[in-house]
Amino acid sequence: MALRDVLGLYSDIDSAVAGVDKLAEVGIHREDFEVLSNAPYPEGAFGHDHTTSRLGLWPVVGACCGFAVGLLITGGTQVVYPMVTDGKPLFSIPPMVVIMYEGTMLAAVIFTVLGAIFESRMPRFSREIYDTRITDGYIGVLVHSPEESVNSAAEAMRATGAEDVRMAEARATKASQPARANRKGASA
Amino acid sequence: MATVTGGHHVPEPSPVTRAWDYTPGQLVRDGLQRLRAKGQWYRISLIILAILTVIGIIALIVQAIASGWGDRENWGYVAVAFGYIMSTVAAAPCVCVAGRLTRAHWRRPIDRISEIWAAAMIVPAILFLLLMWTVPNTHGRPTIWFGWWAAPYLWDAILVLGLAFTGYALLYVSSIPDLAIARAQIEDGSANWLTRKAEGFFGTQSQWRVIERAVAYLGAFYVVMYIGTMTVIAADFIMSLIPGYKSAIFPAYFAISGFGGGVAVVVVTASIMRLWGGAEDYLGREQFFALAKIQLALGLLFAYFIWTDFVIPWYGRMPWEILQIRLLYFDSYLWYFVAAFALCFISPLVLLMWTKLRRGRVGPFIVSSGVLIGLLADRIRLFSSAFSDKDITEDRLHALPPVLHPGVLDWLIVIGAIAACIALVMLAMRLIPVPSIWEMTEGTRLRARRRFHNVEVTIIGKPDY
Amino acid sequence: MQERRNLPQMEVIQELLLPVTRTTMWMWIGFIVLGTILAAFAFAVAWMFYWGIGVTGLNRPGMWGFMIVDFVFWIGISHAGVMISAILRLTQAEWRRPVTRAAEVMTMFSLMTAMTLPFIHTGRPWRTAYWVFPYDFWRGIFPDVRSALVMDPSAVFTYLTGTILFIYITTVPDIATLRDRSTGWRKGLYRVLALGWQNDERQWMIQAATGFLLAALMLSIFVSVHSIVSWDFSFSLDPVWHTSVWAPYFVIGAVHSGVSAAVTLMVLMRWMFGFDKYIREEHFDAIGRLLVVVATAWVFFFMLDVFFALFNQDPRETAVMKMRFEQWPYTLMLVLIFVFGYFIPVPIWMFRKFRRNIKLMFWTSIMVNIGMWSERYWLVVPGLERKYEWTFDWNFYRPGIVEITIILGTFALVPFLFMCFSKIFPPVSIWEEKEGQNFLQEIKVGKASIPAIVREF
Repeated sequence: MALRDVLGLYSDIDSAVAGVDKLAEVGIHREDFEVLSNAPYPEGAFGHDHTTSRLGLWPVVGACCGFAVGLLITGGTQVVYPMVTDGKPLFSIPPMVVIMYEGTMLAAVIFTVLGAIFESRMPRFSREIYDTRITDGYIGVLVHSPEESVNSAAEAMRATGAEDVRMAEARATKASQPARANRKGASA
Repeated sequence: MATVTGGHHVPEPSPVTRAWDYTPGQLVRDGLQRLRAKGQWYRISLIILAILTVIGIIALIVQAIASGWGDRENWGYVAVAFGYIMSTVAAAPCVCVAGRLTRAHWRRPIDRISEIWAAAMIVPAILFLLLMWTVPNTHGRPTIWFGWWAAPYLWDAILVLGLAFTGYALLYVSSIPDLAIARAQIEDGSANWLTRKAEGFFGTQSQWRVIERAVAYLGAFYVVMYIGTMTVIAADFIMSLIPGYKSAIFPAYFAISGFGGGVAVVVVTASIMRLWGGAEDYLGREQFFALAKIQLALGLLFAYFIWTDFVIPWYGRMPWEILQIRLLYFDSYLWYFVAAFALCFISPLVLLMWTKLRRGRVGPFIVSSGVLIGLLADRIRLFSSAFSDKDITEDRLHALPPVLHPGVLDWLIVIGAIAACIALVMLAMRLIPVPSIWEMTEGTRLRARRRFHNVEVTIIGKPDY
Repeated sequence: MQERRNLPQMEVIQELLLPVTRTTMWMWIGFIVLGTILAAFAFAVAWMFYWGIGVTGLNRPGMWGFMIVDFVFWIGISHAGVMISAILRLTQAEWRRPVTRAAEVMTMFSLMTAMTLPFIHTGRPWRTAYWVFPYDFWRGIFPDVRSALVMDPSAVFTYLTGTILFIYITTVPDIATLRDRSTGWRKGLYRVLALGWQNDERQWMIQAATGFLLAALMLSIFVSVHSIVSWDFSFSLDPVWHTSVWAPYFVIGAVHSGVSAAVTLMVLMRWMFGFDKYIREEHFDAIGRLLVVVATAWVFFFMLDVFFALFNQDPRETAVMKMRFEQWPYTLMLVLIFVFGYFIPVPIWMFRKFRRNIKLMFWTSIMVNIGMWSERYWLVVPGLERKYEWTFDWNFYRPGIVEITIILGTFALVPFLFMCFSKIFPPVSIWEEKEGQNFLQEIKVGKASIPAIVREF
């Protein structure tokens, strides 16, 4: 089945919300379009987006890795290079705690950032359809529509005050994999 | 129930306090109803607490007659009871002060729950007066008083009794508008004696300004007094009784862990009020979520301060430093320390780091109950090691002093003191509306639910940003 | 009082991108003056490398002087970013929005500056590098992890890495804005750095969640960093250094000086970039209230440090404390610490009218940092000057011209780097400002209209 992206650009939020509602009326599900804006709006302002992410797991995995590396460095170097300093035990746990803590935190931060990039579907340098006016304050409604619904989506957006409606070239996807399945956690 | 707008499912708004939607009239009726209607369980609980208190007082008298004030170690668990109540009951009013200073909205339903604990401040004040006889003067031992007249007795007494007085003043001043409401609304002659103290309050704008300022200043003063009091208790009742123990972080640790206890008291009280106190509509997830965040932060600070207290002598490694950490952390009071560390740090960290548990009502309740138990273990560790048998005029610790485990009398005293505090708070709830009617009413004016395009959102007014 | 206004989107973008798109006269003056000082700094460092640290005032046993004091000071300043950004983000304080980016950037550059100082201070930094990184699996020789001097770089490195990543991830939406509005090499740079950000809902959701996660993580790191810096001193047995309170005391002092430095920066951004509409009096009011609490907590820890140093009347500790209280220049330092660090600014900040006076806030914030620099000196230097049982000498430290120039250079380096940053990225977060406007509401209570915000629980 061929999918096609249609981008409608609205100059204000009221008409963008009207456009979103109109899309629902013409049978385009919430999972099949996304709203682009240059700053976040209160959650649910354009209808509830069912997107979920696993971002919370990333720092946990990172922390475990960092802890392990910290343990290896602090424990390992004390074992392979036994040297008594100031009467402290050859295997001193308190100093290890400090460095393991730092290692845990460092890796947790790095993994969180990597997770944020990955979960945001980035990096993605080539976009089929995008409009720089979005960062100027326009609100974009990007519909991932089957070829046969493209015109009704575009018409719905024009009817609700979209200043500009642009269409990308059609792209082929597997027939069994509708657009909504591409978005994790999608549910009716 | 989910709403449908424009063909889209809009989620149910996060469960917040239902009382925000009450009208002022509903808030007044509800508050007064709770003030007057105390059921059978209330009476049964009060009777049990009264019995425990009496048993505790008898145990205290037996202790005094049997051993006098000469043997300090016999008073170790009176000190534990005093330290524990100072770290929980006396810290509870600080929670509402923090909320008021930061202009948080979630705090309104828990403000009175927090400050009502000031009603029990007479208990630590009495315990302190008893303990004063057991603490030696400052001659020939380390002290922070550096030769001040009548030190440490006079200055410690000023702080502890001043704190108790400030607590009562804070509770009274903050309750005046509600007492005035009770005076005006309860017409059948059953209004309590305290409402007559609010006869001059009619709610003029200037009176409101005075009340707001007085509550803010008294609250700030209470917190400052609390930190000062905990600092001198830590110095005079613990550090100066352990030869060579010199840890500048310790008073701060003592105060910070007390704040953790205060939050735990508020969470547990709020949970009980929600389940059995008829305040279900006032105490939503919003309150428990916010309190749980503070509990988590204070748990982390608990560990940080403990760590700092431990790691400096560990690095110093002088013989008396090693003995000091063996006494406080390892040999003597190892299991008390383990219990305290597990319940005051590990449990808040492991449970409350998960948003789902933090957002729930059960998670914060379990963690806070644990913190209250952990703090008791911690106070046993600290006061017992301070009150155990040793020569406190020596400049260093030369051997580990004997461990002071609690006996039956000791437990009765500790339980009796705690029961007395709870009984006093329950009695105070018969006189003063809990939660605060006027603060809730003010809160409803600064909150609104509005439609924001496809979603209903909560709007919060921020007069001072 | 309603001071916030809903501004047109384009106006917000254009005004907040002003430092990137235009170089004002004040910026030119700043670049020239700071550049000149930096040239002197570079010369002083080169001079010291060539002749050795004999050209400084360092001598046995007082080997930690101006440069280490300055290192501690800049680490302290770096605590502004996380204090403002992380704590205020976690507590959902609205007034953080125009301050966060600048405070985070100040954190990054002050950390970089701080990190250079211990290296310069050794006189032969290339040898230091050789000693610090001998992870030598062939010979089996490793640094002693029990030393605080191993913990310290690991903490500072963690903090710096975390801060850079934090700034980067929260700047990506603004970089995308720049990508869409630039040409030439800038376009290429922003395109790569924006990673293909397209402003969709999922990306905003992840951005918000990442902000909270990183804030919580950075908060934990921030507390550890200055604690570990304090342990460089207090793990030793030196009188007045060997104390358990220094870790939280250093942290709260750092917050005091860092937040005050953020006030200085806010005023400078108003003056240099004309951000009057974004950094308003209400922001100074809020930060002034915060500073009253922070300053009071700092004084509490200061008192703990002094009182418990004297607590058990150890003659060695008492002697150093006596020197700190009675001997020049420590007496002057003590006056500066108390008068500039607390007794002048805090009473001023107690009054709303004064908190909203920008010039007054600027000068009080400068005062605090003079007091805090003195405090670092008062804490660090006297501890090593006296003879103890394990030293064989005593020395009175007096900084040389080389050190003074290096210190002045660090005070030029941080603002210079900040201005360079402002030429490439917006120093006030554009998207957070716009988010604030999207969430802005109003509640009517009688005749009063109260500013309000949408709160997502």
